[in-house]
Amino acid sequence: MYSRITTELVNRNLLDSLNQTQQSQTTAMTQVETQRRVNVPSDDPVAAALSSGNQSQAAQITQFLQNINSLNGQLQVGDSALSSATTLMNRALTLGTQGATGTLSATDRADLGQEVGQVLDEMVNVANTTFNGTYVFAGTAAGPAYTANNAQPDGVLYNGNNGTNQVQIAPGAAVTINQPGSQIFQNGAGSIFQSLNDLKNALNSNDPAGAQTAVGELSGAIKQLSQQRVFYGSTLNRLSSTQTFLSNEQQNLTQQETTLVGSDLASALTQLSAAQTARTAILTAGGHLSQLSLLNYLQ
Amino acid sequence: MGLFGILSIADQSLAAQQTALTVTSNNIANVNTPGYSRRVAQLAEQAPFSTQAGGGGGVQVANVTAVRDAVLEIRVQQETQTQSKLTSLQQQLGPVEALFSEQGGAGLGTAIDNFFSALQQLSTDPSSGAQRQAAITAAQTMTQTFQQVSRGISQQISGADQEVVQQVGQVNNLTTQIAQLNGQIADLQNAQQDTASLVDQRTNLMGQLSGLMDFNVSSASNGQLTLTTSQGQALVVGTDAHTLTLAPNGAGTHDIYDDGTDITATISGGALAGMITARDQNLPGMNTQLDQLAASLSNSVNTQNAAGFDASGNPGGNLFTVPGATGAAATMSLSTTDPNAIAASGTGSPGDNTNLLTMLGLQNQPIAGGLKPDDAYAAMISHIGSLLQGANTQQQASQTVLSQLQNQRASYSGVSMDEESVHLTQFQQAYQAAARVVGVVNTLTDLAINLGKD
Repeated sequence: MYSRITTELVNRNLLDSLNQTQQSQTTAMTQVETQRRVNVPSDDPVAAALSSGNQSQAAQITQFLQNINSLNGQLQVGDSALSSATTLMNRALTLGTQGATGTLSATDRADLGQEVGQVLDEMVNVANTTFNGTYVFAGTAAGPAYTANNAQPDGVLYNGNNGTNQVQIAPGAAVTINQPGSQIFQNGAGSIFQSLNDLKNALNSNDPAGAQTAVGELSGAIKQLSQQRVFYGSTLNRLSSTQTFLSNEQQNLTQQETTLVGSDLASALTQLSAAQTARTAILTAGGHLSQLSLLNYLQ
Repeated sequence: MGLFGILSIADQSLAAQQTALTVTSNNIANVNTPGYSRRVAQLAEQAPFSTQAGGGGGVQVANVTAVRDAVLEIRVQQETQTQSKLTSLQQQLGPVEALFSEQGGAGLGTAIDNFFSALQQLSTDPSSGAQRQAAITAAQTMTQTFQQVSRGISQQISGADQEVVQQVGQVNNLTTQIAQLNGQIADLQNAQQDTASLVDQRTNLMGQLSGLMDFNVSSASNGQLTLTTSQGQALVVGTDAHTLTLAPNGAGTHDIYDDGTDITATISGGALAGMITARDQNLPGMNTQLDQLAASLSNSVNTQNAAGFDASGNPGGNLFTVPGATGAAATMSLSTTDPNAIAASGTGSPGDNTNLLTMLGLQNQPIAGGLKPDDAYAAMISHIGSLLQGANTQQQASQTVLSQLQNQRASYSGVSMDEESVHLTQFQQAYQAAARVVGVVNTLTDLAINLGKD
């Protein structure tokens, strides 16, 4: 308490009280407007730093999800190319089985041989499948994976390499995203191009026994191909489950962020209305106070 | 005592009440004058004319005193120094804090994240020209954001320096005026004159000086004050003002000298102290952290890029140019805008991404002073946030104390209109009564003169 109440004291108190309520009003107002408790780092330095960490974690997760989207496209293109390859191989198998039958004429075999030649050409096209301009079966090399080349024992020249790439799809987790063409189409355990070329040559040279041998090679190559396709299927599955995991993680982060820096809207609104009430009360009291003066009563 | 004795008493009373009314009127007139201390007319009884019973000498105004509490004034000045220091610190750090705010800030954290995201995206298709371009653009944006934040801090530093220069000018202006008042007060005091209004003026000037810097006060018997810095360097001695001078220093800012001694670091109160703390410590500290992040990130990326092969299969070069560790953030730039310069490949095959994967690992490695890039950025947020939070809290506490002290001063030395209204009535009535006494004496004198007539 003050022993003397002076004009300056009354004015000071009035101004101080008004300033204080205005300050809490502004604070509450900002919280309501931005829906955030922490608007500048000094509001809560620890929460602000944690929030920044959350944000960069969220940015990484968003990017991982984008990686997965891109990879999905790339792997699906690879998978469907191998599906076409399987169809082609089955077609070749049918042709080969026909050609191995002893009753066919040389002309008929030559026709079949020509057809197998087309299958072979088609297979080269399949092996040169691109995604966004990149040859998906060329390993890590640029340019078409295969060119037809009769000088080669299997009729094709591999221009790619044996490189594979890995891409991160989650914190600390990476997947291999490609199989080199050499492994798929020219695998030692059953080469697609070798078997097709052998069949073509056997049919063209009217050699049923050779065709029979080639049919055996074809079956081996088909088996090998289906094993290679497993890679694409399982990687796509892994991408899909990682995607679910990351989406959950993203939600958790958003929730954490709200707890960390979000404002409690109900309490902010209560504070706002309390500050407004206080301000009105002070203004009313101040107005009355300044009207009170002894001078009004002295004649 | 005769009738004329009574008349003399009435005369003195009229004069005394009039003086008291003048004092009251002056108080009312100065109700809103900053730093004014109310005056009180001290009425005292005059020595009696005679020793007879009922003999009295009447009234006189013994003196007019200013109601002032010297200790309270000093406390107000001290708290003003603390308050001004914290307020100026807030003002200097606020804009820099805004650079680090999530909303409306420069977004350095996001720019760093985006750079690594673009590299991630490139890793899914390392030979894609579009994604290489996106990565180079993200690197460019990150570089520009580093520059922007660094420029923001540097501008604040030079702004604070300009304010220091201006405020030193104001300090000199105030000390010169205080020295002049010292002289006038001593002269008046020698001549036994009223010094109250000059002392009020001087106190007011010292209040303003407290807003700028801290100082010690000692008073002499002739009413003069000696002001010294906290380290004892003279600011005002008698009628001499020791003006402060400025000299440029190595950091591109100004040091403050008093009589040839560098007092920059010893100023611990007032707006100058806040400016100097922000200018010489806090803001350069932020710049150092920023430079460290910029330099270590650029160098790590460069080293990794040099370990790989660019899109044409040639060994990778630098992506960023950083002239030196100091000022790294301000001066860093892209070494090339050629998207093919990103050495994604670790084998030389254009479609290989192994080197890029290793480069991506930098995002989660303690490359910046033992911290991951993101954590180094978060540390800056928490640093500037804590500095300002501390300043805010202390400023609020100091504001409460200062208000309390100023209220006490207002209560003690301030003018109360009600009180002065009462005084007005009181002295007016006394004046009227004294005048009435003159009338009564007049009648009595008439009676006495006409006594025995007719």
